[in-house]
Amino acid sequence: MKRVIRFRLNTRLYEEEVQDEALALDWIRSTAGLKGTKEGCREGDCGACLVLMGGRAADGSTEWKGVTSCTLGMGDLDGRHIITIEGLAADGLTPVMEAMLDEGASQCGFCSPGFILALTGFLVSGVSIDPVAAMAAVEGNLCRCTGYGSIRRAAATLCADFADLPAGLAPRLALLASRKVLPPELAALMASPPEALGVAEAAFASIHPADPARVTIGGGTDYYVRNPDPEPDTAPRFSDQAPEARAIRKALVSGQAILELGAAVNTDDFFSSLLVRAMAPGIERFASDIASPPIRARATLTGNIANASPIADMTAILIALGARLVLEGDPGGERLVELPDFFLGYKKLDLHAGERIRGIVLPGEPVMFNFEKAAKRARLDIATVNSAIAVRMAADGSIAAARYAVGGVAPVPLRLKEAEALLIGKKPSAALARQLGALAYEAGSPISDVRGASRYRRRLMERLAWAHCIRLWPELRLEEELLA
Amino acid sequence: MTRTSQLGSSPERSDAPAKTSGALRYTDDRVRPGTLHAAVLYSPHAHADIGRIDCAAALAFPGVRGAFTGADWPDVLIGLYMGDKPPLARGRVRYYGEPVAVVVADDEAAALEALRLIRADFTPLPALGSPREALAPGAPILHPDLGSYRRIAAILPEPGSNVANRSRIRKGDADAALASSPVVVEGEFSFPPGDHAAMEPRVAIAEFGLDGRLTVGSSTQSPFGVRTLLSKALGLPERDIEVIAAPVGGGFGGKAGIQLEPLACLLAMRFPGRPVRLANTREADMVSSPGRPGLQSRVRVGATREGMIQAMDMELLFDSGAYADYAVNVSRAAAVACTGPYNVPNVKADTLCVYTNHPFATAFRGFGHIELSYATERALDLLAARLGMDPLELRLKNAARPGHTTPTGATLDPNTGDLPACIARVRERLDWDAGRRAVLPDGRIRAKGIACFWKAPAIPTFTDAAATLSFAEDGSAVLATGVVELGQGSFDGLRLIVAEALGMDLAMVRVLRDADTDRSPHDWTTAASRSLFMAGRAALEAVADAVAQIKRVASAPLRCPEEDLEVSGGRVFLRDDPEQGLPLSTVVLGYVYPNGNAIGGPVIGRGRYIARGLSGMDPDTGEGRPGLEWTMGAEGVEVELDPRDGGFRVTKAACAMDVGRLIHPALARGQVVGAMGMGIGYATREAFVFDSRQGVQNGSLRDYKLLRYGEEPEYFADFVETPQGDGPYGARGLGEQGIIGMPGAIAQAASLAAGVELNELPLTPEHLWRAMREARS
Ligand SMILES: Cc1cc2nc3c(=O)[nH]c(=O)nc-3n(C[C@H](O)[C@H](O)[C@H](O)COP(=O)(O)OP(=O)(O)OC[C@H]3O[C@@H](n4cnc5c(N)ncnc54)[C@H](O)[C@@H]3O)c2cc1C
Ligand code: FES
Ligand code: FES
Repeated sequence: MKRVIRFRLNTRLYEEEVQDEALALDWIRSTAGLKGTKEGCREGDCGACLVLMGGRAADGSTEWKGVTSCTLGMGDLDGRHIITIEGLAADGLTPVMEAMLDEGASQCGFCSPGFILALTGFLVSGVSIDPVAAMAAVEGNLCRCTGYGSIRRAAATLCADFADLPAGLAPRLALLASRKVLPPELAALMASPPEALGVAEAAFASIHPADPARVTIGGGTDYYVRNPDPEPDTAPRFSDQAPEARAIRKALVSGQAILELGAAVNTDDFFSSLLVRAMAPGIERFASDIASPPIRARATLTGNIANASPIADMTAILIALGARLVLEGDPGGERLVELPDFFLGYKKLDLHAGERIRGIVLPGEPVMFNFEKAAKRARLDIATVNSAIAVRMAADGSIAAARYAVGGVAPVPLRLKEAEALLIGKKPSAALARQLGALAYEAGSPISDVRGASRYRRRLMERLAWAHCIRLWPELRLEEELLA
Repeated sequence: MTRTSQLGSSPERSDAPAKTSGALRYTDDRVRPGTLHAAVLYSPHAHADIGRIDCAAALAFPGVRGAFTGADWPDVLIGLYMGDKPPLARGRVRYYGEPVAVVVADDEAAALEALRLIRADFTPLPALGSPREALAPGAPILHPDLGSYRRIAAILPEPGSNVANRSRIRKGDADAALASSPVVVEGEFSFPPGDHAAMEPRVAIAEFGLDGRLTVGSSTQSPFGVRTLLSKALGLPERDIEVIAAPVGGGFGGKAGIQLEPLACLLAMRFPGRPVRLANTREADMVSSPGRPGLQSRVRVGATREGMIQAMDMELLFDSGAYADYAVNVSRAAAVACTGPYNVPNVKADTLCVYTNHPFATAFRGFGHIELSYATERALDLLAARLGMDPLELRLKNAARPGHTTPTGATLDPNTGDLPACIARVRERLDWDAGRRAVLPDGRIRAKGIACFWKAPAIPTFTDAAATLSFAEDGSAVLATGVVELGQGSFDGLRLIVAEALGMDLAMVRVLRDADTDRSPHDWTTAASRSLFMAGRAALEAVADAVAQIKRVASAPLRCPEEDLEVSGGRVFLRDDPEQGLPLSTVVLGYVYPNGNAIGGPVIGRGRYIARGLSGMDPDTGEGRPGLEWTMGAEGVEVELDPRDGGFRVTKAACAMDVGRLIHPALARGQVVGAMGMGIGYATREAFVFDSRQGVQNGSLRDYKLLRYGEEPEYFADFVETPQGDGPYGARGLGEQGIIGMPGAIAQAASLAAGVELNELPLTPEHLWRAMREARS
């Protein structure tokens, strides 16, 4: 659908009519004519199309993230600022480009703009500037020529040169401008994104009143992979249209503390939330198990759920955390559904026509949490199987409450009630871990497909159950017995 | 005046600023307004009869200019060595992803929408999923017209079967030597086909001008090859075809043949005056456009008890997929080098290129050598195990040296690289003698593996290169060649060679990019790691020619014989009195006397090269000299395996290669490390997964796993320099070789770690886990 939005591309402000559902990648290359943004896969996997996107975070502050423009809808750009390689190079080569060049990290060069934008975004937003963090920052970029040795050296050089970056966006932008990582004019504009026009909703409602077929797009990281060229009459609704949609709040419901998550809360938001971390201490270490940085910056929890993949990672995590969904029908009706009950069958959801997920509710009580994922590649991968567990311990050291989720062994993500029943009331031990493993081995009815054969999946499930116990109770040193 | 040599220094790549700043224009970045866009309907079946294809609704779609099927070009057949492939399937489809119909529209969105309106009926046929299936009696014959296809003489198809080419090596008497060998081992080794996955998907943009000339911009490694093949396929003379090769975003052989160009050109000829763009999505690039061959092989090795190899008997069956493309020459190249870099007095080898219903295969980095290397190295591992010998010692013992003969009977001359020195470097890098296998405290197993490789370019006997050298007013030099930039950086190597030969500052030498068949000197193809060697030779001749012209002109105003002059440092001067001389800027466009009289005119150096002394192979014995120069080396890895779930990682990778002379070390290292990284992907994850009807199940980057940042090992790239007598400054090719030994070395290390011989690739954790489990039970 056509709509007028306001956004910035590099230093230029646009107030333009765009096709809501069209890909930012196509617009950048064809309409804006900036060819430095490349198409390598059109499904979020290679990073050749990576751009930096600035916008408002849930708290109203400005945030900058690298995102894949091949999974980004134009309509989502209202009130945002996009930077391409041309924007970075406006005043000549930057130190990031020079580091790549000095190390011979650009061979055919097709991947280079994406790597350079990812590394520049890392200098803009990275919390700690060190080689390990730099490596994590480019995990979403593929290079077929270099074997990565030279890129690693370039990243290490940059980390050494920029180890002293100040915290806080404004001083950092100023420093990066003074050291030519960002052209000064661009850096000045990066402090605050343009105001969104945001006229869509009201105008839309008058054109398509309560259109039940109307699709909701969250981060687009599943939607655009399935619809790389959506039809021009698609009239999507973007869940991330106001910062509130990305808020994570604490609320009291009949005396119980709960967490409320907005429809647009993405994977980064979730793992960086202090409220979430307080509820499940240490949960942030699992962030890097999910997708890649440009995908995490966009992938919403609701999208992960509504996509109905049996191996959705965030879904498994949320099942273990006891999530319920707030479903909202277009006329305004609202209902609550337990997350495991939301999945009726393969890719079949308890979602009525015209309904969408408005938010997620988590119980607020603190839990001990663990997540495990087995994939063909260690990380950055759609899981072969995954599993999440959350427990609460009683004073006597026995398990007072447990939730156990598994993915990849059935047409839908599963909550394993048998496993929970097994754990409750018992004290953790190697024997218990073995029993849990045996239950996990039998869980569901795994199929064989390109990502793994059923037997191997069962074996992995067992291993993940053991891993849960080893990681939840490190003081018991269960690994010595289990892995001997 | 003495100058220090710039060879062996690593100046910054001259194209790096344009690449890192995003300014470089690849082919698809050059779409002009008014371009028509094509969208292709791909076969959902690996083998099927095509029924009716109804394009009426697509044609009626707004913005659509045309819709076409195979029936639109009933006679066109395309091929490199053998014309076996229609531009769009005719009558039947032979692989999953084969182009069936195409829509041309004013914009891409309309073309894609209209595509959905085409109705095509298929009747599925049984699909052939491996060379052995295709060779079994009673197998369906995929190309009943094999006997009538246009082909070159070196390709020997067997009509009535699925054999697209067979090469034979009969050196000595392998049967007798095997019978008398005290130790004989035999094994079968295989892997499925896969893809190049260059980051830039293929694209071709063709325009048929109103003057009757065809211009096509393509992401190709071979502009001149494409011109010749287009001429054959379309019946247009070469003079009416111009092929422009912008820098390519990675080729690895996948863009060396003819690919999207014929269809783009046929479409352009239907819409004279308007460019037509035919671009691959990633999925089409992986499945519909050619990939790399798969392999099934059987190797028998006979040796003495001391481990001296007496004979090899081998059968290499290349899975060429539905069409022959480059694969018929890949299988032939594998015959030329079939034993690997070892001295094997008696060889019997049959290498076959076999049609199956898989995506078709073309050249891939290594050109048949990964396949043969994997098979022979695995067989040597079996031999080492049988003999109880260290696999490194076995290789050292049998390493090919000058004076030995290759499988085709060609004698290795003194230019041959020093393989034992390479092995020694790898031994050191991996601390080989400290032990090959260790169990780590956490239960994982660390193991090492080694493999050796050699490769000669598999090229026509008349492979050529040419160069011209011209000059600007400031005295700077510009080299033009027909070489294509694919990321390998040949231009910077050539630039160093020219600067060295002219004794000129590097900043004063440029090399032109964008190979263009109308403007660039002829060059066979940018492949086979030959560009630096051959274009380098041509460049040297061009420099010599230009220098002679410069001296001739300068000898008049300097009033001396030409022989007394020397060119260096941007001047031409008297050798014995260097103060007497002229800046080149006053000579290269002609010399002007103070009174206005002028002599000379612009200097243009001209250089050519053509392969020397190559001959074809005898069809029955393989005898001949098909290989120009042999690049040899050794590679080793260290791996870590978790025996509990098959978790597997390559932690170190070392390559030592005899490159003759290191021209630009940073570029060389970049090529070798990149090739090793690709080899790790090849061995550990990259391969197509087929369903029971031979549909590709992992035709996207999501499911076809490439090596990612952070998964790479610690790399060691070492170079040995035994000069190649006829190479430019002694250099020989090195672009592909780093990949060749990796699968063998990794399989050896993984087998050692797992305690079971792993004879199939890729070595995914699941595969390892299953093999260990089967071995236990
Ligand atoms: C390279 C790459 C790597 C990935 N790796 C992982 C991984 O490791 N683990 C993993 O689990 N997933 C992974 N994914 C999948 C994907 O990123 C996640 O599933 C993500 O959470 C989807 O969220 P989204 O906001 O992008 O969804 P979208 O694509 O926006 O939407 C997905 C679906 O949900 C619907 N939808 C979205 N929001 C709502 C709503 N509020 N109400 C109702 N329906 C809605 C949409 O209509 C659509 O059908 C990966 C994807 C890519 C491209
Ligand atoms: S094009 Fe590959 S991630 Fe966007
Ligand atoms: S340099 Fe070619 S893909 Fe990275």
